Amino acid sequence: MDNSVSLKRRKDIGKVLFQAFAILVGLLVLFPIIYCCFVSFMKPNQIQSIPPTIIPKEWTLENYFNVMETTPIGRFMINSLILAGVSSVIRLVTASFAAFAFSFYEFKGRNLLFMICLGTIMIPSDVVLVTNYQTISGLHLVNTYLGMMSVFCVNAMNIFMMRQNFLSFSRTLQEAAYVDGCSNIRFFFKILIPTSTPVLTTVFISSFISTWNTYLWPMLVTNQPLMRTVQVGVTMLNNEDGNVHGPIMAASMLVLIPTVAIFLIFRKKIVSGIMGGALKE
Amino acid sequence: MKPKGIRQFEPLLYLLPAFFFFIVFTYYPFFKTVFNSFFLTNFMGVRKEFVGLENYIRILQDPAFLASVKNTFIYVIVSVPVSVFIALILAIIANKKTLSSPVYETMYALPMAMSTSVCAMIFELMYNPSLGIINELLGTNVSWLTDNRFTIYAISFISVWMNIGYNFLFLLAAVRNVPADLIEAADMEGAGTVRLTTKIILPIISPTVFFLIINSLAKSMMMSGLVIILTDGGRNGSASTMISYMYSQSVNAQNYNNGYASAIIAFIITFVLMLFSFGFEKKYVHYN
Amino acid sequence: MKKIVSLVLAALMMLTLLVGCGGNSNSGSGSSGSNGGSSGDEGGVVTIEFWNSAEGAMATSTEYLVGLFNDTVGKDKGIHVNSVFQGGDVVEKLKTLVQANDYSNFPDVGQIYAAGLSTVLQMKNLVPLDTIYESGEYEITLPKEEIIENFLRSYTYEGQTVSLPLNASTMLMYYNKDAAKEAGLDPDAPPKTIAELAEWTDALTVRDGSTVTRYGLNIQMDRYELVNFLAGVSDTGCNYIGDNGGGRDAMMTKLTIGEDGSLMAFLDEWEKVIATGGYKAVNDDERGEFANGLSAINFQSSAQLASMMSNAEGKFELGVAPLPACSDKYGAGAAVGGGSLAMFDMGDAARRQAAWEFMQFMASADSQVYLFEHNGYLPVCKSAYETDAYKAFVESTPEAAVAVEQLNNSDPGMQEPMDLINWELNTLSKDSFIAWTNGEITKQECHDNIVDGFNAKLTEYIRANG
Repeated sequence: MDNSVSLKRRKDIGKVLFQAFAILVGLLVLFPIIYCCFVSFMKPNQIQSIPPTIIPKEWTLENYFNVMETTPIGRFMINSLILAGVSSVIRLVTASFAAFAFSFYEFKGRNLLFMICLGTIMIPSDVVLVTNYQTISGLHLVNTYLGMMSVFCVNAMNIFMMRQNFLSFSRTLQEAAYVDGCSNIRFFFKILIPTSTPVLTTVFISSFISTWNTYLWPMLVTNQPLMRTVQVGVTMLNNEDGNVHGPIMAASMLVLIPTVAIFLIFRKKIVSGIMGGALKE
Repeated sequence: MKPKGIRQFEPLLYLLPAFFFFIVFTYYPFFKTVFNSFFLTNFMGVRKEFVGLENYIRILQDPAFLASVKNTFIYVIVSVPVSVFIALILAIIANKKTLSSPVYETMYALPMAMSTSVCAMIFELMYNPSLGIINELLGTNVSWLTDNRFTIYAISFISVWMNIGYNFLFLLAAVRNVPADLIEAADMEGAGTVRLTTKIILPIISPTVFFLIINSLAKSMMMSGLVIILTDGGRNGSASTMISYMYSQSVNAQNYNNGYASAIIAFIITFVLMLFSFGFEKKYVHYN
Repeated sequence: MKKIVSLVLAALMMLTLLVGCGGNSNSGSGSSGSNGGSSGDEGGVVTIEFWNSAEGAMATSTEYLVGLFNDTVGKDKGIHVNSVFQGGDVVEKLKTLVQANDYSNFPDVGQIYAAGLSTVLQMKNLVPLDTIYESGEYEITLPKEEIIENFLRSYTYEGQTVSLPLNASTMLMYYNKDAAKEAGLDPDAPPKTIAELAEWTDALTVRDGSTVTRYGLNIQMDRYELVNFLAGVSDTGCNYIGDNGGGRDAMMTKLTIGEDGSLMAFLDEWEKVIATGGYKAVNDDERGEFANGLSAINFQSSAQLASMMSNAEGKFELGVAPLPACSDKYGAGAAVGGGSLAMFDMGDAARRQAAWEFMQFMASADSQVYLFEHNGYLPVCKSAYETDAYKAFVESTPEAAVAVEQLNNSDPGMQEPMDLINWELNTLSKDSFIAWTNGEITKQECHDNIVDGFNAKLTEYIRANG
C-alpha cells in the first residue's frame, strides 16, 4: 500500500518535472518572440542601450498607441483573415483532390506531373509578379478579394504533404471499402477525408499563416487603403528616419494574436483520433 | 486501382483544379521569363534583340553569381538537417499529452507565425555587436551581420529558427499517428527512447520526414528575403544567394538580363537536386 | 468541434462573397478607365487618387495634410483626395503597371523619388511639371519661381522639370558636444574640412588598451554619403559625378570623378581620417551606437533630426553642423534628396485641375512649414521661410536651421547624380571603403574599384538601354 502511494507520487513529481522541462524548452525556442514582446513595451531610448536589456525598465503602451494612430490595423486584420481563411480552404480542396490522384491512381505521366507540380515551388515569386499582375488587371480583378486570392489557390507543398499522408493510408481498409462497393469519389469523401483530419489541420494552419504574412502581392493588386492586409500595415511603420523598432514590434505582437488563436482552435484536431484506430484493424 | 476505359481520365480530372492555377499563375509567367531570357531586355523589361545564350554565359562567368551558388549550398547544408532534427526532438517531447500540452505545443509551433520582415528586424536588434543581446549573453564581440566569416551562419540560424515551428507542426501530427500499441509493445520490451525513436517511430513517420526535408531543401535553395533585408548580399557578395542575386540584379540594378537568367539557372539546379532526393524515396521512405 | 470549424469557415466564405462582390461591383460601376470605382466625378465632387510612400511619422503628417486639404480647399472647390500607401517606393508599383500596360489603374498624383525619374519618364500619361506651368490650362497659385532652384533641379531631366518637390532633405553632421568638450575641442566650432574632421576623430576616440571603446567617427560610405562629400570637390563649384551633367542632360555614360581627379582628391583627405584608427567604416547601427556614446560623430539626413534629438535627450548635448568641405581649396555644400509629386493624366480635365490644386497645396508655405516642424524636411517654397511659424520654430529649435544654412550655401548644381544603376555604385563604394579602411586594399585600388567597376556596369546597362 505505502509502496504504491509513493510510486504514484514519484510518478506525479516526474510528470510535473517533465512539464516544467517542456515549458523551459518552449521558452528557449520562443526567446526571439518574447524579446519582441518586451521590446514592444519599451520606451524608444531603452530599446538600444548599454548594457542591452530584455525586460522593460518602464512599461509603456506608447508603441501600441503609435500603431493605432498610424495604421487601421484592425481593418487590415479583417482583410487578412478573409484572404488567409478563404484561400487556405481553397488550397485544401485543390490539394486533396490532386493528392488523391497522385496517391491512389496509377496513370501514364504520373511522376512527371508530380515533378511539374513540385517545380512550382522553385520559381521565385518575383519572376512571375509582373505577368500575374497583367493577368489580374486583364480580368478586371484589381481591387478585389478574388484578385488577391487568385495566386494563393494552390500550393505544391500542400499537395505533397497530403500525398505523403494518403500513401500511408491503410491498403486493407481501402480494399475493404471497394469490396463494399464504394465508388472512388464516395471513398474520397466518406472515408479518406474524414480520417485525414490531422493532416488537413496542419496543412490548413501552415497555409493560413503563410498567406496571413504575405505582403507584396496583396499590395500590388489593391489600391484602396481599406483592402490592405496586415503586413502592409507593418511596413507603413517602417520609416528609416525614425525610431521604428518599438512600433513595429508592437504591430507584430498584435498581428500574432489571430495566428495564435487559429493554432489554439485547431490544435486538438492534430491529435489522431480515427486514423489511429483504423490502423489497428 | 486499375484504369478502365473512361476511368483513365478520372485522376486527371482531380488534378485539373490544381493544374489550372499552376499553369495560369506559375508556368505561363515562368515560360514567358524563359523566353525573355534569350533576349536583351531594357530596364522596363522590354525585349530589344535576340542574343541566344549570352545572358547565361555572362552570369556563369560572373564571380558574384558563382559565389551566390556556393553560398546557397552552404545555407542548404547548414540549415536543412538542423531544422528538421530540432523539430523532431521537440515533437518527441510534445508527443505525450499532459496537462500543459497546449502551452508548450503552441510555444514550439509559434516561430512559424512570424513574417520574414519582422524576424529580420528582431534578429537585427539581437545581433547588433555592441547593443545586441546575443553578444551580451554569449560574452562575445562578433559583428554577426557584417563580418564575412559569420554572416552566412548568422542568417542560417534565423532561417532554422523560422522553420522549426513549421517542421514541428507536421512532425507532431506524424508522431501522434504512430499506433499506441506499437509503442506500448516496445516499452514492454524495455526499449529506450533512442531505440524506440530510431527503430519504431522514425520508419513510420518517414513519409513526413521526407516531405519536410524536400520542403526545407526547396525553401533554403530559394532563400532570399533575410539575406536582402539584413545584409544586402554581404560584403563583396559574401552572403548572397542565387535568388538574392536575382533580386538585386532585376529589382535594384534594373538588369533583367542577369535577373531572368539567374532565376532559370536556380530553377534547374534546384530541380536536379530534387530529382536526386526523390531517388532515396523508394529505399528509405516507408508508406504503410 | 467539427461543427464549429465548419461554421467558422462557412461564415468566412459568406463574408468574402459579400465583401468581394462589393469590391467587384464598385470597380464595375466606376466609369471605364477610372480608378477602383471610387474616383471620378460624383455629385459635383471630383475624387482623385494620391499614391504615397509615406512611412512612420511622415505617414501621420501626410494623412494630416490630406485631411486638411479635403476639409478646406477641397471642400470649397469640390475636390476629394484619396491617399493610398503603396509601399516604400511608389515607382516600383507604377513600373509594374506600365509593364502590364495597365494605365487605367494609375493614380492622379504619385510621390516620386529622384532615383525613379528615368522610370517615370517612360510613363506615357505623365504630365510633367513644366507642361503644367506652360500650358496655360491650370490655375497657378504657386509660381515656379517660388520653388527653390536646388529642389527643382533634383527633378529635372534634359532641361524639363518633371515633378513638384514635396519633401526635401540634406545630409548633416551630428556630433556629441559633451564628448567634444571632454576632448578639449571647441564644441561650437565643428570641423570645416576633412582634415579637421580627422583631427576631431582622433581627439574623440577613446581606447581601452588597444581596443577602441568609442570611435571618433562612424560612417559607412554608401553612395549617398560619397556623392555628398564629393558634391563640392570641383574647380567650377559643383561636381556632377558623371558625364552629361551627372546624367541630367542625357543618359550618363561614365563617372567623371576618376578622370577629373576629384575622387582621388577626396581619398587623399579621407586617408587622414582612416589613419586615426578611430574611424568605424561599417554601419552596424550608426544611430543606435552614436546615441549610446559608442561613436562621437555621425552623418545622417536632416530628416532624422527629430529622432537624433530624442535619442540624445538626457544622455548628451547634440551638435548639428553642415558637411565639412573636402579641403580649403573647395567650397562646402551638399546635394538635396527627398521626394516629389508627379501628375498623371487620367483622361479628365477636371481631375487634372483637381490634382494640380492638391499638389500646390502640398508644396505651399503652410504645408511645407508643417513638414519642417514635424519631419525635418526643408520647405521647398521660398515664402515658407518668411512665415511666422517658420521663424518661431527655428528660434525654438536652432538645430533645424543648420540644414537651411547648408542649403543656402550649396550650389543648385550640387545634386545626387542620375546614375541609373545607383545600387551598383552603392555596393562598390561601401565595399571598397570598408576594405580600404581594413587595410585589405590600397587607396588606389579603392579608387579603381569604384570608378572602373561602375563604368563597366554602366556600359552593360547602356548596351541594353541605350
